[in-house]
Amino acid sequence: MTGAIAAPAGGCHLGSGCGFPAPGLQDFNWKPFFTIGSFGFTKPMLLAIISALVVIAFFWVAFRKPKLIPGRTQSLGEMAILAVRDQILRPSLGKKGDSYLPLLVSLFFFIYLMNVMELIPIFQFPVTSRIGFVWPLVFIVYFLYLYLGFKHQGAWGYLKNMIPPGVPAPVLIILIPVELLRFFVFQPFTLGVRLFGNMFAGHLLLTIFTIASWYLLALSVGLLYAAGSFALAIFVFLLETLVTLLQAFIFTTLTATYIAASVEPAH
Amino acid sequence: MSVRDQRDKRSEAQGRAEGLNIGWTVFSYMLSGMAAYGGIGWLLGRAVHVPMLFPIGMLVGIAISVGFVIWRYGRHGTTAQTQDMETGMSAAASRRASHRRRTPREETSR
Repeated sequence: MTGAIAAPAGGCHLGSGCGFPAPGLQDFNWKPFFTIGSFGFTKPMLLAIISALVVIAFFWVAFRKPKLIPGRTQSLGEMAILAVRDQILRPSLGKKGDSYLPLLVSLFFFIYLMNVMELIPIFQFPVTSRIGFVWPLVFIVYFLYLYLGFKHQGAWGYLKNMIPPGVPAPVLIILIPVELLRFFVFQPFTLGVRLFGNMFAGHLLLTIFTIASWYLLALSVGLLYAAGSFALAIFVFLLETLVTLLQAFIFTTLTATYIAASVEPAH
Repeated sequence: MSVRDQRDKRSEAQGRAEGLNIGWTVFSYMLSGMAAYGGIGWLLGRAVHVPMLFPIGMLVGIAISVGFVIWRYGRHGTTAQTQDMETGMSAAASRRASHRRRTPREETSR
């Protein structure tokens, strides 16, 4: 699938004695296009920039000159924004959370495009399968909801509201370390790792079945296995079209619920 | 799209967001319980030279998390499940139906 393994797989077939070129972590490391000092500009960086530019360009074109009777691009842009508003923002934040719509729309489409790069020929790599691209997004969300929590509820009120209501005092003492660690460490950790893990695993599966289809392709019984592997590659591809969207949706939905919990105390 | 359809869609989206949030909160509780009491056990174990306190702490942490999750979310889940078993509907459909069943007078009296 990737450039790094396509070359060895090209000359490798069942029975040629070179063994299956199993994909692994090496397929997520890219040789830099160019280097400036110790900084190397790699393919995932290029894809992340393209994703950001596509999101900016699309919404700029769509709403550059908004009209009362919208054109095709404006209609598409409005549909995209309304989908995020009605499916992600409003269920968690209600109408008064509309001021967070630009953030959630940008976040959703940026993550979705970075994910979907996996399925676009030539690009063929999900940017979010490199965890370094996920942590900055997590930190933006994390610091935002902490800031909003302290701003709207005050430091003491925010910490107090973390504790679920109705817990007896002795249980509370036992729960405090769990609750603090969950809130400050594991909540952002799971937000990032889930996105990264899903995209990493999806890309690995897609790579395995694609390489295996090529490797098993021979005029023998291997042809049958190659067909099976190819069918699985198609299946994983279709599954990934759903996963790319779903992961962007989950990340943005959880962001909205965390913001809601910061703006308003837990119900 | 009718107002009722819009309301149904909204309550469905709301249920989905709540479900996602609860699911990942539960998962975070499991990890943090294990890490918090595993960490306390490890520190105590180092202090008193009993390395077994580290795995014991982790198990205690998991037990606390499981207990707390059952206490906090289990009861709500049981109620919803019972209701669904009675009506034979999915959770979302059941929620929608119960929403529709309420008359405006009932709504105001709440």
